[in-house]
Amino acid sequence: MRTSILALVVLCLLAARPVAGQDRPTVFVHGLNGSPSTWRDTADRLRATLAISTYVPGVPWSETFEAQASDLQRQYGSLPASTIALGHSNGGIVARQWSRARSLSGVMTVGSPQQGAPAVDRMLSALGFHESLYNTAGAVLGALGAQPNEWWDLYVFVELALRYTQGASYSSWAAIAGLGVLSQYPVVPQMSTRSGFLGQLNGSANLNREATDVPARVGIAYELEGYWRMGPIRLYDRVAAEIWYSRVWYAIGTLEAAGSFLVANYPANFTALTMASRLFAVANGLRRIDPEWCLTVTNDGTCRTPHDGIVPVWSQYYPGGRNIFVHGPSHVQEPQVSDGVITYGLTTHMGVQLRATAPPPPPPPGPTPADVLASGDSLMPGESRRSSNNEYELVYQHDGNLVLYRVGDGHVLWASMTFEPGQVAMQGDGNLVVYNAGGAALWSSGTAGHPGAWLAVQGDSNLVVYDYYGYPLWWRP
Amino acid sequence: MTVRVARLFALALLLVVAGQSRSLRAAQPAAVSPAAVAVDVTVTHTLLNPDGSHAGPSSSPTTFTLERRHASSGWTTVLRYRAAPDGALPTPLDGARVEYADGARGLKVYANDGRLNTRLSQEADAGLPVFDGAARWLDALLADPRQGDDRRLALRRAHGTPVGRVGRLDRYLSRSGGTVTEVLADRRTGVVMESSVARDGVLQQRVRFEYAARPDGSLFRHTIRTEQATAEGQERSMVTVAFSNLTVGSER
Repeated sequence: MRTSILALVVLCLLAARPVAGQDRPTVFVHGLNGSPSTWRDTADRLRATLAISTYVPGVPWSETFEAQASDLQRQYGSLPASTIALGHSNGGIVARQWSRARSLSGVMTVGSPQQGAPAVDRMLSALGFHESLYNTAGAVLGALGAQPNEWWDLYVFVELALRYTQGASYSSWAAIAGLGVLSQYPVVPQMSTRSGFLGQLNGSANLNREATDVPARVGIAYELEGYWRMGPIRLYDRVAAEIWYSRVWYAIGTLEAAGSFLVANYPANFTALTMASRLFAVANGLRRIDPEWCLTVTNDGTCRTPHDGIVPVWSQYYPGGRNIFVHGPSHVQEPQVSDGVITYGLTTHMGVQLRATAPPPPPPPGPTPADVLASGDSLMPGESRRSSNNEYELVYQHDGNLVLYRVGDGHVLWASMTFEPGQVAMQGDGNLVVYNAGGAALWSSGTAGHPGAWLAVQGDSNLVVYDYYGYPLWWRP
Repeated sequence: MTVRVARLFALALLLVVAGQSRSLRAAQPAAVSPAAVAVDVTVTHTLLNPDGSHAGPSSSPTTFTLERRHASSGWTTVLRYRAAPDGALPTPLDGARVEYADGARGLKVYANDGRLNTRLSQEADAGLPVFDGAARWLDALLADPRQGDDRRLALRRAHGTPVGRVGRLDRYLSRSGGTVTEVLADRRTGVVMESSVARDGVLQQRVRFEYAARPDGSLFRHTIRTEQATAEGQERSMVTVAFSNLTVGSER
């Protein structure tokens, strides 16, 4: 879908005529717990290509939607009727509410909870679940490791799994803990799926008014693939989420194997059975992390509802507006990586013109070339890539081995274990392949089918193959 | 549970593995051992509020087949996870198998396509314990009723003579500080039906066993129900391990 959106952008660039008139005032409104920085960089990029004058205010995001809209009116009430309001998440709702106070030529909502956010209804229980899992793992660790006992060997065996359990539950808890604190703020009840405010906003009377008063209304709805996999963590960091996902399932397998070992070998031993049940219980808690998150953010617990990690797609659709559906980033990342689709919406549905000297559309965000192996690039023996902080280096050695080193002490973090020199190719099909001189593939990342994928040597010691849009496909074990 | 109590129970209830001292250490060889045993295992975990109502959403049971096979190199244990049922959230363990071998270290996890999943497998790190299971575990999962005297003797060594009866069950009690351990065992066969630990009058843990008689007279322990207070002390964690479809292969 995003590919088609980008194609449309290109078409727009080809078809649109350079601007002749004044820049259109465009107000970028942030959402819950946001600030002007939510939109600032994006607004700057868009202003370079589109004939818009940008306004990036701060709004009192914790107050009611009405209060936020009033504040917006106080700041920008004097802007002309040609103004466009563009809001992310709650900011989209604020933009709609603002249209009640003044004339707007367009409203664009970006991942906004038009019908409410189920997460608001369940956030506290989600917090409790993750904290409880953290405590449970801690209790098992304590029971196993307090002092040497007859299960000491078992402690060694499952220690890592239990630490992963604690780490995953704590990280996911930490990712959303701030939202739990927010629950006391006036705007939060208005975000509920049972919100009277939203019911009125989406009622026929207001929709009829919007149809008359706001000529162009566009909603952008996002779906994050696999949003439920370590959902709270995925909101902020896809790579971290994938790493934790692997760790969690490593832990589940280990804990269930250990529990089964005890049940199978000591089925008459009270201590063994008690310990086995604890391990099974922790494993079960881990199995519940993803469904629990789905339940929190969708109200249905099936993980089948298309979603951006905070707001279901069904709620992101703008009632009565033109809606654009995008496979893309998580909810919190939407403002930073939506240049293409916003450009499409503004130029196609709101009459915004391109600047005469408009540069080509911005490329997908990515690291600088010094630390990447771009699509189509290759490494020959002796060549390398180094992380931007100079702490990690990926070297294609003369012996044919592709090795990731920690620069400081030469410690090997990963190696392809290939020993026939040839070349390393970041192929156009997305597959990272180590070939020998005869052209035989010795190792590959198994990521074919993702044209434009690229390899990053990251400063956090990760080695990651990302797809064109920045979605991690492979990372070093 | 204190280490001391745990050891008391270990002494009492290790009916056929009295020679072992550490968790992953081998038990004494059984007189008769099968070459292959397989049983379906279903693990269900629920949290209960103090009033008995469910705490939080219920979760799906975990099901796998537990296989133990003996070959010249020793015993290998395999957990075979079922494929995800229709509509269920897919997981990396769907259709996977987890293997460990006696005398070896670490786990190997194979995906449903048979390939080794290196992310979920453990390296054979020297810091890990050696898996060293034994065949006599089957004696407790599939109890021979003729060994009732041995079981009763083991219980008396651990808890003294029975302090009374509850129906057809002998009741054993032992105390250590504020901890009271109670064991209820079938008077005829000596198999344990229930074990519980209370501390300062408050139940901490309880394990219940359920059996089914097989045509050969042996007792198949098909269900183990474990109830424990959670770390927070308010909710109770209930874990049920159900065994079914037990098959015992040819003798070695």
